[in-house]
Amino acid sequence: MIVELTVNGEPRVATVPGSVSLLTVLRDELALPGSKNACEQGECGSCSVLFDGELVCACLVMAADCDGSDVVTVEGIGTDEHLHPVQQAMLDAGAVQCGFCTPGFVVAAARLIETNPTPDAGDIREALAGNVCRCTGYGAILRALESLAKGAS
Amino acid sequence: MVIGDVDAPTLTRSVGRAMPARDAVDVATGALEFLTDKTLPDMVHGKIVRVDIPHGRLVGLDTTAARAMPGVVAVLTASDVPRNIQGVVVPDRPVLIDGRIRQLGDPVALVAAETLAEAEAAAAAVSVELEPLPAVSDPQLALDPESPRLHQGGNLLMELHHERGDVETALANAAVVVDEVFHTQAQEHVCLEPGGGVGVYTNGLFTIWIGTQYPGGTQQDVSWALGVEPDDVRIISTPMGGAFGAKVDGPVAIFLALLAKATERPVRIVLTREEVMNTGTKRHPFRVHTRLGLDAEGGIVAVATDALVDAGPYASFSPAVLKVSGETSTGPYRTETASFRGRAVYTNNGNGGGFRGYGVPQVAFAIETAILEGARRLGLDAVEVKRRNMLRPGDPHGLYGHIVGPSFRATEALDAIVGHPWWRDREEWKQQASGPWLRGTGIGAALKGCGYGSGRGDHAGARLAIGTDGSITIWAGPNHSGTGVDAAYAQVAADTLGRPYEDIDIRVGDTELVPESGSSAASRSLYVGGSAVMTACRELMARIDELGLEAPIDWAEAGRRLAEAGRALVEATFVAPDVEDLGPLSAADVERYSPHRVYGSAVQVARIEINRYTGEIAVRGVACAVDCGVAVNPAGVIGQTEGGIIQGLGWALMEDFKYEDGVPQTKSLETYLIPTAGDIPELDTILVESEEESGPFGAKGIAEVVLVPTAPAIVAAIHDATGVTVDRLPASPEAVYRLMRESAA
Repeated sequence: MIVELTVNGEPRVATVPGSVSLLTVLRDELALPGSKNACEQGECGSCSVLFDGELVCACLVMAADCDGSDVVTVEGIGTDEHLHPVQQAMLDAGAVQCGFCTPGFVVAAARLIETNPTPDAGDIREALAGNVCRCTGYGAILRALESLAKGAS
Repeated sequence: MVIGDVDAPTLTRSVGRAMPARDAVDVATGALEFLTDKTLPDMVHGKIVRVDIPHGRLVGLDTTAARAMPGVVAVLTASDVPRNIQGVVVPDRPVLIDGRIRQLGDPVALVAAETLAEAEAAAAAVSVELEPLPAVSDPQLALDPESPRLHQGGNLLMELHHERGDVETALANAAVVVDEVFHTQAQEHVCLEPGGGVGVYTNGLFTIWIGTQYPGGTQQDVSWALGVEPDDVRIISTPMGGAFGAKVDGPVAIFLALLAKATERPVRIVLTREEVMNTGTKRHPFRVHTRLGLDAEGGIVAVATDALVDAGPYASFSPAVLKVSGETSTGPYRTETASFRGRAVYTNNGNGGGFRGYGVPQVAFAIETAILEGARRLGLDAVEVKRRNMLRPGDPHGLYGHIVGPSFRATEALDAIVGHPWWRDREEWKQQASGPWLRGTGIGAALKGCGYGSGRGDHAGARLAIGTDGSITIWAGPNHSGTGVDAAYAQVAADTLGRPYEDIDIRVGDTELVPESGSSAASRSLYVGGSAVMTACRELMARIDELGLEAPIDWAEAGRRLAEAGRALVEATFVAPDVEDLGPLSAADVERYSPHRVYGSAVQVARIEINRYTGEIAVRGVACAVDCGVAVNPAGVIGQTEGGIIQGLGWALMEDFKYEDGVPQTKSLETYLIPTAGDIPELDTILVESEEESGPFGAKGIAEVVLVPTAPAIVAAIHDATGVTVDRLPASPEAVYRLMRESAA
């Protein structure tokens, strides 16, 4: 089927074969590989995107259900010339190691800061508890967001 | 916090500064192309046909239907593999199964098709006829002569034995002997990026883009199986979405080469999470029998360790892991009398392989917990017992008796942790426990060698080019496997050359361009690879000196003049020094045991709360003092330390890769749980610096040892809170609750 949706502010049309996920469409049809496929079942958050403003795992969203929806991926959060504050904060805190989980964290953290610009440590942990990182032990990621929140308050 | 005896003025402009990962901006924006993201024109998609039993025989394989499926370009079976055997240490594993099945998920055929969906459909259409055999799932039973033999030579893959002094006499004369058996479980690496990549075959040359920690080893695997020269195979292996030992070996590069050659088109294979969970290597489960003898003052008089190691179906790196277990079985402690017997045994369980720590966490849990128990029986403080016995530079090693190198700082690390507020204020903190929560604090300590060890010719190379514009490019190894070691290579280069960090272009992970440098493993990348970078930079400086240029150096002129003289390209090799003073070891022992000259160490304090009604454990704080030599990139050291602590915490409390009769039970992230941001304690890292004379700017490798003390520290904290001694990991709520119940009864 043909699905028309808005991705990172631009109208896009995808030909969706059968029962594929939004993640597959983003990566394979729309050439947006920033969202990563790491667990295929919504456990790790590596494919986090904003779907009509809500944070979701793109691997759990049926592409066929995306007609008319608005999707923001990591590619729509910031660019190397205009980094989003959460991206800058993660770079400054040394929160990037292998980087495979980072796009998912960026999307989840950007959503948190948008809804709650001054989260406390507990808010940050709760907001990121759906994203798995195996390299950093989360320490630098949490410090990044705590310092961002502190700067905003 | 940084403490230590490093002379501050020796630190120059880049070394000692916290640097982010060099690809961090591209990572954060999602722009970085991982190798499993790679797409080439005309690319086909590969899929592996796997068996669903852990042990048996392949008796029939029919690919007729699959070949006729839409979009199918190739279907390959064992007879299509020129040399159907692989294995870096022991060649005991077919590339594609032609008879015996030893692991659930063993591959029997490869399919390539125009789309992934077509490849999946065709793989499902391959008809496989299997004859199941009873699974060998208990390593002890595997040694029974009546058990089915998984390999021709039997189920004992390797036995390692060494004794220093007379252990039985020393134990007989000890004031107390702790005689305990400890069990540890399989752990899965959970690299966020599953394995896979892209392969191309053109003009007789293979190019394989695949995340591997050991590009040279992967190149050998492919060239051997395909029957071609190593030079005909190029492995490009960066960036990589996590490794931890999971990507130091494995068959996928060979699969890519086979399909690329058969289809004459680019081919991509990306493993599913389930394939990784079923067939990827694991941290070996150990049964460790420890006998620890202490004198009345708490001095260690003997340590006898007997380790039975579940190696799973194929050797992978089990023999090397067993060596490292033996070497670290006495912990970071002195003793004049010790023995180690280790046996690695084939089973149909998970394939034991390389995993950060490499056989150390299992024996560290045993010795640390035995010390806890021994101190209790003597009425002594366990931390005082550790301090009293702590190995110092120049001491003979506990098991082998070789001399420990001068940069070892375990005592200073212990002192730093004993002085940490979480240890100092432990009684007050305990008193403030409320509700159902009990509180406790514990300390764990560990050491691990840096590099492959003596007698192995551990070396790395670097190739440096100075451009006619003065630019510097260095092709360096080992690879960046997600650690950001390339940033530290650039720091070392910048300071050796006296140039800004930003001037240095570092390239890693390409067998065509980077001299053979071994694996990104064994806490060796910065230690050995950084030293090779430094050696190359020094050679360049010597050549520039000969030009007689006036200071400050005009780098473009230097580059032009060196190019004219044909001297603009420098190649250097660094060979890590072996143990200087072998003590009682013979030359043959050096090869057999690979003892280390240089050790890193780490000491941690953990403070925890335990729910007395449920056994639930919440770790509230872990501080780690890490004996790292000079921290070239403190952000890297802290990042490795925090990541190591949390991997160690997962192994201590929740991660448990389960098998039933060889069948994996925890094959997704839904059932195999790892720590999330909701599970993590407050973290604190203390850098305990010293100058390792053989390391670049005094650096040592630490990325493994930082994982090791976490489980012992948590187990000690559980003991402090409840009085129970955990002898089996993970310390799950059920297990801890049961121990508390038994202790109360």
